[in-house]
Amino acid sequence: MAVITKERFTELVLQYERLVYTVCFQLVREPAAAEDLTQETFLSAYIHRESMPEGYERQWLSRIAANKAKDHLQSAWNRRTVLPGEEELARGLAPPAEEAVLRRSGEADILRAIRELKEPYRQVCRLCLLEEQSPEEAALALGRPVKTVYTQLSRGKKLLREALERSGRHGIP
Amino acid sequence: MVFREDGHLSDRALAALAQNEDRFDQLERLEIAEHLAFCDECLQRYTLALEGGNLLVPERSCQKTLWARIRSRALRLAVSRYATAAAAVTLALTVLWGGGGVQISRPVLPEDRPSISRQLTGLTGEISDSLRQTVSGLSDFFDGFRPSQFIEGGNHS
Repeated sequence: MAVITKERFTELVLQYERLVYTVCFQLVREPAAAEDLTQETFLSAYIHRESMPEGYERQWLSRIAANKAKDHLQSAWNRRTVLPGEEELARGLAPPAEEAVLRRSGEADILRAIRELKEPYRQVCRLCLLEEQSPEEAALALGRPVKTVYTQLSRGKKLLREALERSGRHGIP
Repeated sequence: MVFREDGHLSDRALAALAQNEDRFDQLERLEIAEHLAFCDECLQRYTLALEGGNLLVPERSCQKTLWARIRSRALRLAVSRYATAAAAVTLALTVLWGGGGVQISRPVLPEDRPSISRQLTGLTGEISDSLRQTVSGLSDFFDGFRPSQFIEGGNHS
């Protein structure tokens, strides 16, 4: 890896600021947030500049920008969907409603609901719920990060619950 | 559809994203961001699609404030390391000299063994050296942020 001097890094900022801002904006759709995330992206890039692959700066910076946008959107999504106090339940003290619905549902219903799931949830749910693979094994099979598989499995179960409830045969107590 | 059957982003979704179309809801944008954060293939397709389009220009450029934030972050990291080192030294000295409030019976030392005070002198010397190195490292670190070396702002290329 080449040594990135401050001068070289400043050149990179000049060269790629618009690209990074565009990636951030297209994902978060808020100009002010996209500006903050652009700065966060370059801040992370500077801190980890030694791992920057030479010749692939564009992809490397775009990946960091996508990660920053993901964290921002994830945080916004959690704020929207997790009510105060609900977080504690989700950590495992009580079985989530998704688990209860899945336990009560027939295998045929679950199979059908999983087949009808959209990506990126269908493959994760198929592997983890039908083939009983662990999220780690599913992550390996799908080439996705383990953390992402956990997130997708959690959201996939929620989608399954909604689908099973819509079918009219399974309600939440 | 945002995703293809094989789990990758669809051409239409990538094109819509790169052309700045506001057609995805928040969850879909989160799913896309999650995918781009790990998938080399789709990231490559996305950055290629962006090459052909017009890149957006931020209203406030980050160039003027970025170095201030980098300095601030670096300072926080350095202070944090220094504080950790100082806390470790304080704890070590407290345990060695104060005994932490615990009475320890001192064994009778044979004549030919080095005394505890000599061992402590050696230990404090090592701690001083370590502190000196930390402070020296900090000085070198902050030398890198001297105003003469700053490159402030710049123009859009």
